[in-house]
Amino acid sequence: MEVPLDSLSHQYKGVLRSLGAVAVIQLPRGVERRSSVFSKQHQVLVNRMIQPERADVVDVPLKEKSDEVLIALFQKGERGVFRILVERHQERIRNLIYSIFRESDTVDDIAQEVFVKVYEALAGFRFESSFYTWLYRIAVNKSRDELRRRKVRRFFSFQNLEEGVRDELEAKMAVPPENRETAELVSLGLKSLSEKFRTAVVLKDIEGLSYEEIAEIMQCEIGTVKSRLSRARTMMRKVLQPLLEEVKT
Amino acid sequence: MKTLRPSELHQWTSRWIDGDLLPHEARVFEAYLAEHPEAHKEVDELKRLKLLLSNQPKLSENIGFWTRVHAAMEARVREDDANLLPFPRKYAPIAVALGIVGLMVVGVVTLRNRQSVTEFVQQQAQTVRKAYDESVLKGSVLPLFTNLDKEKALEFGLTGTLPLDSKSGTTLRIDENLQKGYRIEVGKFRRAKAPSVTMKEFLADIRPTAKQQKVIDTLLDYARNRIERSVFVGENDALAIDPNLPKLNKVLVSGIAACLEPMQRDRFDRFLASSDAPYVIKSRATKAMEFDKVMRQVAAVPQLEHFVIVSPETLLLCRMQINLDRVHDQMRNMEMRAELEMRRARLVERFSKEVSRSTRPARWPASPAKRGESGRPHAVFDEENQLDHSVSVRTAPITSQRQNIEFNVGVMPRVRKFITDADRREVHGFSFYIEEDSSTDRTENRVPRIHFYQNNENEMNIELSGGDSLGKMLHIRFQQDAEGMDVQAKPKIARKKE
Repeated sequence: MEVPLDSLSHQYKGVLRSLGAVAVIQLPRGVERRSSVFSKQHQVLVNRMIQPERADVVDVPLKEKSDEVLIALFQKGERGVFRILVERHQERIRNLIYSIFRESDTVDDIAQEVFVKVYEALAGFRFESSFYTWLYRIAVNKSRDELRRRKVRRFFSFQNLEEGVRDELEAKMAVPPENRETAELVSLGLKSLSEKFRTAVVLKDIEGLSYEEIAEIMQCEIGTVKSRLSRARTMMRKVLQPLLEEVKT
Repeated sequence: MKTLRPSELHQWTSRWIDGDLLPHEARVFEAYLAEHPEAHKEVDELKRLKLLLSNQPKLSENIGFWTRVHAAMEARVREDDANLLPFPRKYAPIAVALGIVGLMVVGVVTLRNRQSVTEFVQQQAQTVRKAYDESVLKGSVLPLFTNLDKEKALEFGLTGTLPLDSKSGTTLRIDENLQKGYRIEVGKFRRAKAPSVTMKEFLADIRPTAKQQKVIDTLLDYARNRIERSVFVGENDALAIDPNLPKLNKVLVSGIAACLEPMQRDRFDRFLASSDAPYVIKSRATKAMEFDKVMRQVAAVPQLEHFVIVSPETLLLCRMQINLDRVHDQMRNMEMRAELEMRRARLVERFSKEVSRSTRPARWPASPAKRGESGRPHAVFDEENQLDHSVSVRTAPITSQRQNIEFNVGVMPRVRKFITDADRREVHGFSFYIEEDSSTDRTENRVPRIHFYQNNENEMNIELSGGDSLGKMLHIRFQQDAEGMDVQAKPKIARKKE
């Protein structure tokens, strides 16, 4: 989408004119994430330049406005737009949490906490990253907090979370292949990983995010992400070996 | 490509299935896979794993999720609104932790500096003590009349006297004049005519019923308590006297009279006459008042926090808050009881000496308009030129609470003494007036005499006569402000022009 230079705020307009630009192009979201034309920083800059003003100049229904426009409206006091943001992202966040916990009964509790936290912090959102990355980071942090709480509880009850899962997985693997529930086994395989490995696998193999996005969400280096992924997959391959061989046959 | 170690192989395979290898890396790794079937197997398994993961079942949509989030947000807002802390509630644990750390730091610092803290406390205590010692009533004040028995209270009611010392006959006496007010005197003036009053004689004469006797006992107990609260002595022989004390005397007698039947009242009037009491019964035929009413009237005698203070140096009206419970605690101490006896002895000695120095027979103080009238003994102080000292008085406003003390049976003075002071200008509110009695002969009467006259609830005179203070006049005036609510003390010392 091409946005006329005149609709930009004054401070950016001057800079771009000096570069000979007449318009800026906002990429659609899908393109934006995999774009090799714009670096991430460039894209964020363009988003920051365009979105707040676009909210005023482009007359589209609220539900069709981008996250950034809605956030800008929220920051201007229109708190009602938060519902659109929630409804737009709730399923992704619920499924992300579900992928991490593999428990449907706790998903909504944690997802609710995530969005309440987002509501409280959204006024201070500075468009330095995309909204969904920021949202994922909050969800991952909340999930990590919950996992740590559980770990502490298990510690005091002298139980080891991962070991208990591995025992259960071994028991399930022992049943004849025709009686196995593949999805359940994969879930147990995921649960047998510690939190940081599990999150990396979920974000990469289930959510389909890039290394850069995962690094930003998990707040670590890209190399660390690669390393965690490698180790996590090796561990899962090991515990799910019979299943993987069966799929092959 | 050399054979990869397992960890290196895992890294390469992981990146391979993610499509992260650069083109030349991909070519090298593909060649490696072709040569190493176990590596190829690993790649295949990882691909299958990735496929299984990406095909994991999704959650069904929750259409009520927004309602749930909205309710949680509103609950959070309500929580924040209800939060009385000056910061968000989530910081409460941090604040508590900081508070505990702060207390520990203060504790450690205090512990390290305990010597200086102790010194500081001692210094402060000394400062307070010094300030207290330098006050008008130096040191502790003690009630001059403690443990009065009922006979003494009855005698006070009938004759208005409270014995300071039975040997020398030094007595505090109050007297009342309906027209001009009250008088408080300290001196040695036991009248020969006045026989001492005993409860036994009183009861035998009046013959009260059991209920009446109970009422009388209650009245006397009340009077004992009020007397104890009305006269105090300080360390420097200063006396603090409640100016409402004379009113108690009259009310006590009136209360006793009011609870009696007409016949008994006649007998009581005769008893008053035989005791040389300065009262006569006003309404003898009226029926006895109910006990509750009598007590209400007696209790209506106001006890303000203002005391007339007579010290060797000065004479003031001060506001004092005396905690009698604390005084009682002090009095349990043997030392304090001994201290009270010493102070009482000093007072008595002083008054005795002054009376012996007085060359004139004791008489009532004469007011300027009634000079030469025969009088009675009066309070005396030997401090010559004492009024040269400046009087710095600063009292709190005296609220003029005019209490209606009305008995349908009352008493009135038997002996009328008119004290007029025509020279005094009329002022609103309180008027303290001290002047010398120039009618007395300087050579014959060398000691100054101080008399207290409470004209009514809003007016009081303090008169000094005799001695070398001739020609000097202390005039303290309390005037109401414009709104008529407060009374400000404006002491002024003036010298009367000779």
